[in-house]
Amino acid sequence: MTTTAPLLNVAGLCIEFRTGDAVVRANADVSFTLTAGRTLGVVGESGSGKSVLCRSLLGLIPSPPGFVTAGSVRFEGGELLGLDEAGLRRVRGTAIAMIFQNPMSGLNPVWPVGDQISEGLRVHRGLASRDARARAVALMQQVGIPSPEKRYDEYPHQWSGGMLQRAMIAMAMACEPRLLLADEPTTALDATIQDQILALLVELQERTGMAMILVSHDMAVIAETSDEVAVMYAGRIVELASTAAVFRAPRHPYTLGLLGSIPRNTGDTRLRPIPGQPPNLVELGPGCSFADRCVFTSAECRVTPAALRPVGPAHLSACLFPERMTAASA
Amino acid sequence: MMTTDRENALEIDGLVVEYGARRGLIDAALGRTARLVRAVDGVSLAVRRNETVGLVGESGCGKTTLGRAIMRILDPTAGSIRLGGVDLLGLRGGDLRAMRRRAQMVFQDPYSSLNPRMTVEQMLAEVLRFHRVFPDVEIRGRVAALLELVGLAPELAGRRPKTLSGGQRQRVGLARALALEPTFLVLDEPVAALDVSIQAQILNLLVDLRDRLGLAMLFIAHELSVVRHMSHRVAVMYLGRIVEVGTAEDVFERPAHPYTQSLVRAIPRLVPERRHRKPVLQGEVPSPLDIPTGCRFHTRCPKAQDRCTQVAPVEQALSASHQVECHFPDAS
Amino acid sequence: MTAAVRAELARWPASLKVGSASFALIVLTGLFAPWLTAYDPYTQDLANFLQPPSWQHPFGTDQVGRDVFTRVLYGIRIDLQIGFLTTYVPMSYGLLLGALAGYLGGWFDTVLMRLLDVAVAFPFLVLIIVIIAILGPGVHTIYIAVFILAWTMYARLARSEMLVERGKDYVLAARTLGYPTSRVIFRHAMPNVINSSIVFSMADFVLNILLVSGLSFLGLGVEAPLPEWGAMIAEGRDFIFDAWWIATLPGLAIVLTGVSLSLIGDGLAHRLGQRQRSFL
Ligand SMILES: Nc1ncnc2c1ncn2[C@@H]1O[C@H](COP(=O)(O)OP(=O)(O)O)[C@@H](O)[C@H]1O
Ligand SMILES: Nc1ncnc2c1ncn2[C@@H]1O[C@H](COP(=O)(O)OP(=O)(O)O)[C@@H](O)[C@H]1O
Ligand code: SF4
Ligand SMILES: [Mg+2]
Ligand SMILES: [Mg+2]
Repeated sequence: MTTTAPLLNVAGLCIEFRTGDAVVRANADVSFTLTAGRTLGVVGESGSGKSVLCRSLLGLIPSPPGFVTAGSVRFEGGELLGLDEAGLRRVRGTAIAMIFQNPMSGLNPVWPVGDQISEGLRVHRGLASRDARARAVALMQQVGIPSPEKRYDEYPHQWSGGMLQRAMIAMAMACEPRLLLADEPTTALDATIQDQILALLVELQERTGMAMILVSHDMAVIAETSDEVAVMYAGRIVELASTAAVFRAPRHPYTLGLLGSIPRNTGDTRLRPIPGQPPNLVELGPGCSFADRCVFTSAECRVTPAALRPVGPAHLSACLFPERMTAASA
Repeated sequence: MMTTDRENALEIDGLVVEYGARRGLIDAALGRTARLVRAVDGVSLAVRRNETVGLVGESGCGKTTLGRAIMRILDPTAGSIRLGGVDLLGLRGGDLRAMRRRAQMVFQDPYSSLNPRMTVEQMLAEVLRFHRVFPDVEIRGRVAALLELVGLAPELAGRRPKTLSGGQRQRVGLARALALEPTFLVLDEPVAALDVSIQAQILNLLVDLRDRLGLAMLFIAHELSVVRHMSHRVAVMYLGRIVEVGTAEDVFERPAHPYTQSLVRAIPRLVPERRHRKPVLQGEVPSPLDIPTGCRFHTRCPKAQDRCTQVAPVEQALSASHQVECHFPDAS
Repeated sequence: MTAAVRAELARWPASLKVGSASFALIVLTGLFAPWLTAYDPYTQDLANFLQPPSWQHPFGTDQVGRDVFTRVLYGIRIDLQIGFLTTYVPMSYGLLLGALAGYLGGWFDTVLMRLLDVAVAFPFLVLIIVIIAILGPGVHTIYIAVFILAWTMYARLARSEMLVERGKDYVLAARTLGYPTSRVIFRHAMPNVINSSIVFSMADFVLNILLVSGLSFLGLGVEAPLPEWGAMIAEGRDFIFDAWWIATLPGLAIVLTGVSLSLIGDGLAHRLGQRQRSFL
């Protein structure tokens, strides 16, 4: 990497959902940077705010009930938050593209798949229908859709989940985005198809040099595909570091708990799950939101705000007492 | 491989289960026959007492169908299912109801498997009352004991499913299945819908209960690490057939079938290294409406030869515990 | 208990609250009609015919001097009774047949579906008029005609809902627990099937009142002296330019009842349809 300026810089992002009297803090003080060509893995349990984060980058948070209450999102030096629809449209699809967990609901059932892929080319690039079609067929070829000319005119219901996800990827790649947001792209797919899609994403990234935010709840998927990892819990990034650092020496008890929850064939029939349930995002106290489930917790944890801070070289953790973990494992 | 053994909690032999498209009057009048999906196509499998057998395979390969046929929610076309030596398929009415007490099922989806209109207590009490397992005066106490067994707080008894989390619902489903004190449990992807930390809690609970209550289990899942963790033996299913079966060691350390090998290799590992890889398997599972000739895996198999396209392989034993259905298995 | 009631009320959308309140008011007015007016709905007072609204006769009097306000009040009893019976009697067996067909399938379902197909192939109103032509006009004929025809909508709704419920895991679970089919259907699946029918019944209630009023207006329904709203409109139509109140004010009663019921239907749809809110 010769360019050092980050492609994407998210700082202090706070997003709330207000329904009735309840306020859900879906993202709280989320900050990270992403350099071109790199992949940030975002991992966390459901409801931790991963999808909200991705959507906010494209201005896709429905408002009301959603409100961005603080923070900034700078992409290639320009601020994305507060852009009007016209400004957002210029970014969406061309500079930043997104693929979703459920490819079936991401495609319009009454339109041929091929037309949906070429649509972006017609709208954003102003290609004529015939050129757009030719380009879409080439894209379909690239993402591994067999006999694309023939399948161009088929409808989504005629396709399998894996093929639809390839079509979504082709749509996303149509205008060569600099950043791809992949929100659980393989969660709905089977193991061998997940393997194909992940390999495809990695290959596309190497060829185009785009950056990627890959969201998953599967630690192993993140381990194999990401350069850096952000672990999210209750709307916050609680740990942010290189993939190797997060997996070899996690510095937040939640990350440690996640890793202990995964069956690993060590011959031990007991897993070490995190006790309790994820917290209700409406009733978060002032302190660390993991305090109720944490094995290292103490009275201070519940009252002191736990912000992400350096705990080692290029390693951030929101744990107030990361040294307790090292002491315990030593 | 099939032996009628009193040590076996469950014995399935040559089981075939088909789904027929509903035939309309016009089809019937024209003499058209319904197109059948053979979702389970000649499966034989035994589960011993106190043993957990894992069943893995990609979605649509027939795992749920097999589990439901064992529970007699679906009627098989052919084959036999014996539970504790008794032929299930011959049972009707009261005998079947009595048999139900010995085999129970836990469902995948914690959101649809509980009646949204009933409280936890109503659900559990109904089972006990209906089967007259306990005199009415003991039912309350028994419900409380069941809740405790699955690690639920007693104050949840009055709640309806909507107000419970996914993990709590799955515990209720488990309590309901255990209410009749079965000896055999079918668990159909019991943790697939749960978050990892909750998944681990439920897996621990299952291991505890299995050991405490001496349960035999058919543990269905698509996640290999979970199956490996839970199972003594593992059966791998592809397009309606079991293509490999063996101890967890056999299947995961020495997979002999090309499909099992690919499946094992396709699973991402918890190793923080960017894998520059080629996908291990090309293509997708063919439709069960049109199962390939010969070996049903030949359309995707990296080792397929001419013979594979014509002749269906028969099961062969690689060791006493390890069987595989392939012309060219890896016998390492 | 009151806490539970209060919690339930808190979940009601405004439309449900307003609709139920005004409907309750209409029902009470009908029940207490004799106490709310000094007149009798049938007594003619030929000396005071076609009086415009006044303090004495807030809705005026009709062509034979009967107090229109009184007749509108007594009309509540008749129209609501007709609406209720023509809605909920067919609903009860429509639901039952539809749910059974959806759950059991087989020949029962096939036969029922053919019946339903035949029923939709004919226009409802024409069939009703044919039946009235055969049996002669009157409330009882309307009841018979509606009872023969109106259950099909509910059967269709219940059948399609049951097809969905039948495949859900909780129904399968009830089966694996060894419960007999009747219990699985009625205790487990049925309560989850009826919501859509209940919501639909509110709209149906309104439509049925309009249907009966319409038939009465055409002279095919309720007969002369009965203070049914549609019949009153029909009687008043000849005087619409000289005595607008005779036809218009019963019409207003129909509209008010219709709006209340629609509000309830809309509110119920929100309240009952309130599934787990899911993101994505
Ligand atoms: N449209 C919405 N209305 C209200 N709350 C929402 C909405 N979208 C998301 N949320 C809330 O935001 C939180 C984070 O959701 P999400 O980002 O979807 O989690 P994840 O993707 O990590 O599973 C959740 O608690 C959810 O309830
Ligand atoms: N009710 C049904 N009607 C017709 N086909 C079905 C039905 N249920 C399942 N199938 C088909 O049977 C096959 C096996 O399905 P299933 O047992 O659910 O697989 P798994 O549980 O392994 O994902 C699939 O091809 C599926 O399409
Ligand atoms: S029989 Fe042939 S096609 Fe089938 S798995 Fe073995 S090698 Fe592959
Ligand atoms: Mg999400
Ligand atoms: Mg299944």
